[in-house]
Amino acid sequence: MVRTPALRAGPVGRARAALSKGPVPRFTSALRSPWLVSRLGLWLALAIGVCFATGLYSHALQHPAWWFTFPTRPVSLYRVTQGVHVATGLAAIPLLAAKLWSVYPRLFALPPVRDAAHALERAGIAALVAGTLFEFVTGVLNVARVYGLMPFYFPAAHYRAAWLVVGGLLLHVAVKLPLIRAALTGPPPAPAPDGVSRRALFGFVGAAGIAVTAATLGQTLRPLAGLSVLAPRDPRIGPQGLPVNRTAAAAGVRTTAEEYRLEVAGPARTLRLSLADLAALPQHTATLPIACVEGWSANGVWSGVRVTDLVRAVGGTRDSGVTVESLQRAGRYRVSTLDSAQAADPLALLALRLGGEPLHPDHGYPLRLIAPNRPGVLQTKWVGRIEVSA
Amino acid sequence: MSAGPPSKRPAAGMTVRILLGALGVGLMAFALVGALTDHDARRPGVLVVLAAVLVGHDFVLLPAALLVGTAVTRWLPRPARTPVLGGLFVTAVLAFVALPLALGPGAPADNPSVLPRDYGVGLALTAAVVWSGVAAWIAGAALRRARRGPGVATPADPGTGADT
Repeated sequence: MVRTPALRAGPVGRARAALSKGPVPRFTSALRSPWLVSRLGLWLALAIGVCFATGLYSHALQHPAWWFTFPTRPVSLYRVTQGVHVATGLAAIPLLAAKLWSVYPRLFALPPVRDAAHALERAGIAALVAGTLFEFVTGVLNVARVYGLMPFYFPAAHYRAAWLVVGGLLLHVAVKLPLIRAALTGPPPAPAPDGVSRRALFGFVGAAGIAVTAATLGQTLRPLAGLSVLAPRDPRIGPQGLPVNRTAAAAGVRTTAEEYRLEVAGPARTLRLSLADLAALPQHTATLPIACVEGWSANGVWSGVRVTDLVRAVGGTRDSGVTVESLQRAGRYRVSTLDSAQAADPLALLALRLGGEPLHPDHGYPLRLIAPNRPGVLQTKWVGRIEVSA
Repeated sequence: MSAGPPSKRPAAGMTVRILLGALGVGLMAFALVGALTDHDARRPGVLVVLAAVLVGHDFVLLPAALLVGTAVTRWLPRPARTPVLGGLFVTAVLAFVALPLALGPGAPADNPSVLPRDYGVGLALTAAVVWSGVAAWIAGAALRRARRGPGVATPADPGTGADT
């Protein structure tokens, strides 16, 4: 392709001139250009957008707001959104690496600060980069359960930093918008005479994304489980063929069939049901996933009593909400709630069985909540009491 | 703020930018206020890790990667450079995911469903696949060059193309 000087001096040429303003150390790769930076940035921003949207959804499910109720269909919605959240974050690691590499010389631009506006812009970039690295690093550490390197409560910090990243990203786009527009619509710079080609660089990023995805996606996509040698979970491995996050021993729960009673408190009466009482009630079966916030998921075939049957037995209605309490004495997820729509769903069960067998203690023996479109941490295990509102 | 190219509607473009920027600053402020009022997120550890990942990336990880890239470009024969750089990049990304799994505390004794694999072996396997691909790429390119026969001019190696 013949490139005329006039073309070179076009918007991209000017953008490049603006980008390379000021003396910088000698970074010799001819690959770096606004053309490349803007494309890597666009893809990274899309990935961050997907992670942010799915992350907000997960946060909202776990911190239900009074003004919004979440659907119970499709039953695997959360399984998909949270699987996408983790998979997108993992696949975007090479994008983030390439994007930061492509602008690295700008870190050393001189003078470091030109004026107050420039100082603020650079502070914003520092916050954006630190926040983005924080999200990627803590996300990876969390699925690998390296809590020792995170001196904070991961879900809260990961959630707050997400707002920092998205805010910083919008500010960054606002500042760079003319450059971005020129670079995205302009022609590519002349190919580098030597070294890695642009096509090869995009190939590296794509190949790394595919490699990480193939190596981990099997934690939620069962057919890939054998291939995914770096998946933090195997959906086939666990008691009764299903992974477990918190064991009965870790939760400090021990109960026997003889001593167990489920207390069902409602507007009209309070029932105390033994396992035999529960088994005598109409039994229903549902195939529902355990979908963990960590991104793994696996389907189980659960049987037990419909929540809505118990609601009616104690004088509740279709408008009743339900609070489900575990036998475990402590823990953030000891209690969970079902709003009226979730409680009335025919697939919302208090399960006694998994795959036809009584629940393994680690799956919540003798009784656990299992309901559609719900994060695993809210599928309360070892249920000892439910409270039905009027 | 860098001056953009001249636009036919500078005022409209500027309004969009100001609104975007204001929204961005607002969300960053929301993040800060949220973190300060959230008992679980209001930890000095958050600031420590924010600073650590920034410094760790900008002044340790990326400079190390640039050094490796420079070494590859300087010392490897020209046809091997791009495949080897690609192999290194993909391996590094896989290692970033695999090392916390392999070197972390791993599964609690009572829960074998957590981190059920040997992730050191997993990293070795994935790296073996990647480097088989690199070898095949180099061999394929060499074969194509050989088939074209000797005497075909290749561009001179300026020796300064270090991809740093």
